[in-house]
Parts: sequence; C-alpha cells; structure tokens
Amino acid sequence: MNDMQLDQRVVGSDDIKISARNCQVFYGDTHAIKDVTVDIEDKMVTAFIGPSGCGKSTFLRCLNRMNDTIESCRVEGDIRLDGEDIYDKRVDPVQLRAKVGMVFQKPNPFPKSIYDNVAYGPKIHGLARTKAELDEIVERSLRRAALWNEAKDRLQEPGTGLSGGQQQRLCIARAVATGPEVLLMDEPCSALDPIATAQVEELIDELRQSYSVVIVTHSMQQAARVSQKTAFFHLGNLVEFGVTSKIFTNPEDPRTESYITGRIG
Amino acid sequence: MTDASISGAPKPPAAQVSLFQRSQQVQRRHQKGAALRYLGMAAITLVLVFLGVLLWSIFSRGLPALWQYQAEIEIYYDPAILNSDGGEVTAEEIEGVSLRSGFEQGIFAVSLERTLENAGIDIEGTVAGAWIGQATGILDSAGLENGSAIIQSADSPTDLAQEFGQAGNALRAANTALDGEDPAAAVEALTAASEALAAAGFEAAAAEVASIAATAEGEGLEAADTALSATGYQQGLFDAATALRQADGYEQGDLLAIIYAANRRDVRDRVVNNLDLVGDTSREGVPISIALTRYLSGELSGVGQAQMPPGFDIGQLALVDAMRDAGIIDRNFRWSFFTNTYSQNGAVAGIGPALMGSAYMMLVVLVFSLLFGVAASIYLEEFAPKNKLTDFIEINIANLAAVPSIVFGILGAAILFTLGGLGFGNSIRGTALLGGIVLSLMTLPTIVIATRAALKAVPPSIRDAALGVGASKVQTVFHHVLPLAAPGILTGTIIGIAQALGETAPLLLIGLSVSTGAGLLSSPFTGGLLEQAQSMPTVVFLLAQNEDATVREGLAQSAIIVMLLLLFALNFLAIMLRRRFERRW
Ligand SMILES: Nc1ncnc2c1ncn2[C@@H]1O[C@H](COP(=O)(O)OP(=O)(O)OP(=O)(O)O)[C@@H](O)[C@H]1O
Ligand SMILES: [Mg+2]
Repeated sequence: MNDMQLDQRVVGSDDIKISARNCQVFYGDTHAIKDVTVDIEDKMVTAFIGPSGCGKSTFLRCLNRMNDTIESCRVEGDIRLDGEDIYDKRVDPVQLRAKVGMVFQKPNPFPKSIYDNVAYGPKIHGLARTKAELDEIVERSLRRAALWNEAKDRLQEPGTGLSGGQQQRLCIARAVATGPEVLLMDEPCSALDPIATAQVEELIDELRQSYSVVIVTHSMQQAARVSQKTAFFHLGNLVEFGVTSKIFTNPEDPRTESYITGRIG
Repeated sequence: MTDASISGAPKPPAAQVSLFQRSQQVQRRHQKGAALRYLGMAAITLVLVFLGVLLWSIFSRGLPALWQYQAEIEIYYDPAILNSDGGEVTAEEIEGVSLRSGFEQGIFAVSLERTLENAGIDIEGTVAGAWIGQATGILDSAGLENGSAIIQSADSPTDLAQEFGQAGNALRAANTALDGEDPAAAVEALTAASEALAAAGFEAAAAEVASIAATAEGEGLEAADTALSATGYQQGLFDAATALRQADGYEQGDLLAIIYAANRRDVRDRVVNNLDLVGDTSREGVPISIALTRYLSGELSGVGQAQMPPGFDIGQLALVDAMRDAGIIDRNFRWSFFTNTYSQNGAVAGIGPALMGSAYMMLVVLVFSLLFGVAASIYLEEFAPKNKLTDFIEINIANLAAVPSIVFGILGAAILFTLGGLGFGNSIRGTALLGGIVLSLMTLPTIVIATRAALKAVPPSIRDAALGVGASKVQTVFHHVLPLAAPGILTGTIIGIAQALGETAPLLLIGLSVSTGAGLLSSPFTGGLLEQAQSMPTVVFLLAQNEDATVREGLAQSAIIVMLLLLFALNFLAIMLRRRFERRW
C-alpha cells in the first residue's frame, strides 16, 4: 500500500528531490548496497537507520557522489536530483556537491580559522562579491548552526581549537554556508552532548523549511523526533521505507521491528 | 593444594597475590624493559661519543686555521716603475709593467724592505747576527774557546770564514797524515794545523794540537789520531765557516719567501683599479708563507735541522722574529678565506667561488627538484589512476633514490660529452647549472618520496571536508592538502638539498674541481649560473689532498666547518619552517 502511494507520488510530482532506482554499490567484490530504491522528498527530513555496517553511510555518499573518491567503489543504478541523473557523464560532481552539502560523522573542520572554515565554500563558489557579504553569510551560517554566540568573539581562532560538539556545529555551518538544496548528515550528533544535540535537531527542523535533509542516525529517538520519513537498512538492503511514525509504531517487516525494539543491531 | 591449606577454601588465585609483590611475569617484563632501556642508552652514548670526536677533531684543527699570520706592509706604488714616461698614468701602461721585475721586485720587495726599515729593523744586520750567533754557538760546542771575541773583532765574516776554512783544511790534512805511515809528515802536518789555529786566534786549540804532535812523536800515530778526532775542531771550523759565509749573503728573495710572493697580481689589480694609488702608498695585510705557520705558532723551535720550517734558514727566521717583534707580522682572522679562490698554496687558498658555486647549485636544485618533485608527487598521489604503469613508475622512483651518486655524475658527464659533440660542451663544463641539474636528479627521488609521504599523511577527512563543500580536486589539493603537507615537503626538500650540498663524486666527474681561472673563480660574487664554478665538497676534497700537512689538517677542516655551519643553518631553517606551517587538527 505504501509502495503504491510512493509510486503515485513519483509520477509528475515535483516535491521529490532525489530519487534512487535500483541502486547497487560495490566495494571491489563486496556488494554493499543491494538494489535500493528510495525517494527523498523536498522540504522534509528523511532518516536512515540500521545496524552498523549495513550501508547507510555508503548510500548517503552516493547521493552527492562522494564515493567517487574511493577507488574501489562502483555505483550502479539510477539516482536523480530534480529529475537529472547525477551520474551522467556531463555532471560535474563539484557542482553537484554545492547543491548537496554534507556533514560527516567525525567533525572535520579545516585547520584554519573559524571564519575561514565557513567562508571557504562561499568563496570558491563565488557566492559573495564583497567582504561584507561574506561576513554576513558567515554570521548567518554560524547562527543557523547555533554556534554564533560561542564563536563570534573568536572568529579568527583555529576551528580545530573548538570542542568536539562545537566543531561539528562548525561543520554544519560550513555545509549550510554554500546554500545547498539538500543536506546530507552522517550521524551529525554522535559527538555531541544532549544540549548541543537538541540544538542541532532544532536546526535540522528549521532547515527543513527550505531544504531537504537526509540524516543517518543510530538513535531511534532522534529519528523519531526529527524525521518525517524513515528508511531502515539491513545488510545492504532497504528493508522498509515509510512515514516515520508508522515505522516506529507499526513496522511491516519483522526485521524492522526487531531492530527498533533492540533485538538486532 | 597449598592454597587450599592456607585459605581453607578454594579461591581464585589472583585474589591472593599481593599488589606489592611482583609476579614472575611482571618481573620478566621489567627485566626486558630495563635491558632495552640500557641498550638504548648505550647506543645513544656511543653516537654522542662519535659525534663528539668528529666535531672535536674538525673544530680543534679547523678553527685555528681560520686565523692566519699576516704581514702588514706599506706598499709604495713607485711612479718611476708604473709611470716611467712621466705622462698621464693609464691602466694599459700599468698592465704592461712586468709582474716579476716590476711588481715583485720593483714594488713588492722594495716596499717590504722599506716597511722593515721603517720599523727600525736592520735587515742585513739581523740576518748577519743570526748567522754569527749560529757560528759562535758552533765554535763553543766544538770546544774552540773565545769564538765570539774572534768573530766580533774580525773585519768581515767572509774573510774569517776563509781563515776558519784554512785551519779546518790543515786539520784535515793532519788527520790524513795520521792515518798514514810517516811519523815525520804527520808531525809536520800537525804543526801546520796548530799554526793555522793560532793564526785564526784559537790559542788554546793551537796548543792542544801542538801537544797532539808531541804525542805522535812519542806514543805513536794511532794515539795521536784518537786524540785529534776527540777534539772535533775540524767539523766545528767547517760548520762555523759555512754559517759565517752566509752572514752577509742576504738577498731580496729571502725576504720575499717569507711573504707569499704571488701577490704581485693582486698588487697590480689594485693599482689598475685605482690609478690614484700611483705615487702613493697603501697598507696591505699579506699572508705569511704557510710553511712558517708552525714556526710562528711555536710548534717548531727553529733550532736544529728537524725543527726548521722546510725551505727556510735561520737568517730568514731571524727576520721573521724581528718582524713579529716589530708588530709587522700579526695573527689575524682570515677573511680572505671566504673570498679567495681555491689554490694549492695554503697561504692564499679560499672558498669564495666554492661557496657561491654551491649556493648557485642549491638554488638550481631547489627550483628544479622542488618544482618537478612536488609536481610529480601531487600527480602520482592525487590524480594518477592506480594501475600497472603508475606502480612501475613508483617502484622506479624508489629505486632511483638508492642509485649511488656517482652514477648521476656519470650521467652528467654523458650529457657533457653529448653537448661536447654538439660543440658547446666546454661552455657548460664545470658550471653551476650543470652541477645543479645533476644534483637535482639526485635529489628528486628524495623529494618525491618525502612529498608523497607528507601528502599521504594528510587525513582523508580533510579531503572529504573540502570535496563535501564542493571544492574541485585541484582546489582540494592546493587549498587544503598541500598546505598541510608543506612542513613535510619542506623538511624532505631541505634534507635533500643538504644531501646535495655535501655530494662530491658527481661534481668531480663533471669538472667542478678544476680551476680554470675563469668565471666565478675570478669574480665569485658577480658571476652567473653559466660560469665556471667550484663547489664546497670538491674544494674540501682538494684541500684534504694537499701535499702540505698544514693545509690538509687545517684549511680542509676550516672548509668543512663552513659546510657544517651551512648545513646547520639549513636544518634550522627546516625546523623554523616546519614550526611556522605546522597545524594541529
Ligand atoms: N572504503 C571502503 N572500502 C571497502 N569496503 C567499505 C568501504 N567503506 C565501507 N565499506 C563496507 O561497506 C559496508 C557498509 O559500510 P558503511 O560505512 O556504509 O556502513 P554504515 O551503515 O554507515 O555503518 P555505521 O553505522 O557503523 O557507520 C560495510 O560492510 C563496510 O565494511
Ligand atoms: Mg556510517
């Protein structure tokens, strides 16, 4: 029933942001993602959950072609952003990644100042013509990432000097600074304390107003709190994909149920 | 069993081991740890000892050699020689003056003598005094009494030498007669010798010989022969005569030999470059012959054959002493060592062109190997597809790093011969450019390996971060990876360059050791890359082979000190740059 609804939406619907069809990913001979078909809707938060090693990160990285950097990685199938095949030969991954931003599992600020960390993306994409514009983008991004108050007095200090949670928020600020349409977040809160987590979740909720957000998380509660749609991966398969409340209250697949109730993991 | 009997009930054995008691396993571990620690300490001590011995042997010999005995001479640029026609002085006219008769004898030697005379040194008197003192000493030790009174009262030492010679000859004739069979002839010869001694003023010796004549008559020829030989008069007279004969034999050459005489060219250049000097004077510090260094420093006493500096006699040593007493000869820091060119003559040898040549080569190496090395590494590490071909290239670069440097020298020589065939081999032979290229080839693999290691060490998360915000591959590399790898690259580069700085073998092969008197050799600080050059290691190599021990063990070490200081400076630079660029993440 759910599947039918999805299919109906795809046809002629413009609030599908990313659609993946029969996606396969191989690391050399390892088949890491098996025939995954999923639609990421615009202005919504989609959560990927699943046991460790099931391929969440791998699939997430397919969506902005970060897997291109891994020599042994091979992606098959069809992934479209706004109806355009992102693996088409004519697509420059650089342009794609400006539209599909990413926040990584481990905070990875550049070893530069906080300001430069945020300003780097806008600079290389030519988003600001003047210093004032750039300043404004930096401030806006830091505010969105709930880091402004802590960082405003130390913008010229190295980003690597921040605490782990602050670093992660800096990375989020860096990702939103380029004005992406889709934001991919790979366990963004795994290094954060509950307060910072709440801030980030709030931020995610706010980002939803303008972007489509995909978040990988190991926390059921977080998935339940922030997402509207949830996808459950298991051993490279997309086991179940649907409305979050339904997945958590009334899963169709027994594997989903046992995972969210903590029996497999 | 015992456990059970002590505690009464079975317990896990761990619960009974006190923390204060070391278990056997822990004890063994401690022993191993301690052994390793002592081994490490021993190794470090050994290394420090070697380093200490090395540095001590270099500095203890090289540092003193950086000070040199110099004579400060007031050179008078005699217009009678330099401007013989009396008209306006021209450079051509001066260059036309013979180096040997004009500059060395006419100007240099005359100025030298004037300088001594102005300092109140009586040159001829000093030389004569030395020889007379020598003769007096000889006479005294030969048992010929009041020799000094005799010499003093004589009008001319040469005439006296004549008399001494005659007396010596008479003694020798007597000696020969005593070896014969005829007692009458022997007595006659002894009497003649006695008379000759008396004529020369040696009364007591004459009486002694007369008494030997009596012995010959009474006890026989053999006893007389023994008695005569015991006196040593004959040898003493001959030696004293030899010394006296030199007393008024002073020649200009004796004084010139004290100073390094080849400075005539310098003197000419100076006056050619400054025509106003004609008719005027200038004070110049001129190095003393290197053979005298050990005498001046007190290592050789100048008494007795073994203690004489080779090639010098006591007359000259007396002049040296007088000059030193008058403050003409002094020990000065040897600035000329850093500007002069290499020479076999240790008094004027220097490392000016070698320093410049090495600097130029370092520059070439820096540009070539850093540019190509870093470019090659970035391509291989970041952009090249991983396939058989790149694997092959990689292995070959690693192999290249292990190729002995002389092979690169042969490669350079091959280039040279090829160019020689094309007709311009000679113009590039021995130039800093060719040396630099050969050294670059040698340094390239080192830099490639260091750079690739540095690039590899940049955490992948940084690349992800940059790619994630939409930086291109090239932007990622140049904005993020390269700056992070810079300290490693710089360190590798500087190590490579330092290695190249000390490399000798390849440079010898491409002609950087032969001094041709052209290019950088005559103008070390203005010449360019395409001039004939020398290099530090080749000059050290040549100095260390000098036939003069003073150069071998002194100047060679001085050059090594300079090279070591350069290396230390380079290493310091490497550390500073690393500090400057190093970032935490
Ligand atoms: N670079 C790689 N090369 C080879 N295999 C890889 C690579 N990255 C991931 N894999 C494999 O692909 C599978 C999926 O990995 P992935 O990182 O996507 O898991 P995940 O769901 O994100 O796990 P976690 O929750 O622990 O982050 C795993 O079996 C992993 O071993
Ligand atoms: Mg993951």
